[in-house]
Amino acid sequence: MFSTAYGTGRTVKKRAMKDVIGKRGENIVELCLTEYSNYPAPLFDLTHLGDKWPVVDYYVELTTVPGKRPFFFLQAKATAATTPKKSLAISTKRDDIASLLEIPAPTYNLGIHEPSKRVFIRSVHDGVAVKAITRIPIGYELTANNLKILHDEVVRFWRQRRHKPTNSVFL
Amino acid sequence: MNNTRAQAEIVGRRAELLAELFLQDLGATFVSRPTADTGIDFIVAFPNGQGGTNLSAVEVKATEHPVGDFYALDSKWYKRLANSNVPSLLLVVDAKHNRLYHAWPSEEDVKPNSGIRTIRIRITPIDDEVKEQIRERLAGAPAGGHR
Repeated sequence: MFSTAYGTGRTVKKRAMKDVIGKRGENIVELCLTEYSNYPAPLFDLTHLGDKWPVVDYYVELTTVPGKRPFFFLQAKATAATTPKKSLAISTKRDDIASLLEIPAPTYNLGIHEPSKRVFIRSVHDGVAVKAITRIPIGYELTANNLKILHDEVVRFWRQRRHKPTNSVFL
Repeated sequence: MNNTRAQAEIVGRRAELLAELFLQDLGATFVSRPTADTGIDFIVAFPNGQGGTNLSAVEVKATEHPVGDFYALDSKWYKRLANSNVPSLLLVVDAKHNRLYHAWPSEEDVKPNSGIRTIRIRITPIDDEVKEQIRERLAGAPAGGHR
C-alpha cells in the first residue's frame, strides 16, 4: 500500500497488518536485546515504534558509551515455523530492504523464532543487494556473544561520523 | 550505563517480560495488565477443564541477584495479595540470570495487627516440575474464591 505525504510526491509505505510481529514476538525481541547475564548491565535499550511507523519496528540505543547515545534500527519478522537447522526462513520484501537502505544509520532485519524464543539478525547496509532477504544463518543468532559483536559494530559506525551538526539556522 | 533509561527501569521491565512469557508458556488463555496501578501486575486466565476459565492475580518482583530461600516483601503488598478474592501468585524474577521463583501468598502468613513492615516468605525456584505444579494450580483453583 502506498500513500502520498505532504503533497510533495514523496511516497510513504504503510505496513500491512500481516507484517505486525505480535505482542509475543515484541516481548521476545525486547528480552533478547536487553539480555545481560554476561555483562554488568544491558548493552541496549529499545522502544517499539508502533505498527503505524513505516519500515522499522524498533529504535535501539546503546547504553554503554559515555556522553553519547549511538543507535540503530530494526525491522522484525516473526515465524512459528519448524526449528531452524542451517538458517531461519523469514519473509521480507524487496521494498523492505530498499527502504532500510534509505535510512542513514545501521539497520538490521530480525528473525524471531517464536516457539524457541530465539532471535536472529542480518544487516542491511551499503552494498547489500536490493532484494528480499529470505534466510538468516543460524550463526547470526543473537547470543550473548553476538550481542557484544553487534554493539561494537554500531559503536564503530558512529565513531566514523560527526556526533552532531556544527551549525544551524535555528541557533 | 549512560544517561538512558535507568537500569532499574530496564530490569523491572525485563522481569515483567520474563514473567509474561512464562505465564504464556504455561498455557494461559490471556495475560492482561491492569490499566490502573492496582498493585497487581497481571491478571491471568487458564481453562479449568470444565468449560470455564479461572482467573488469578500475579505480582512480579524484580531482582538482579540470585535469590535465597526467603524473600522480603512489604507487608502491605503481601496483605493485598493474600486477602484478594482470586488466587494470587508471587513471581520473583532474577532478570539478570533469567531465573524465576514463586510463592502463593496466604492470609495465614499474616499475623493480624502485627504492625510489621516486611514479611519474609519462603519462595521456591521454578523448574520444569514446579512449572507444571503452578500450571495445575492456576488452572484448577476453585471458581470464585481462593485457597
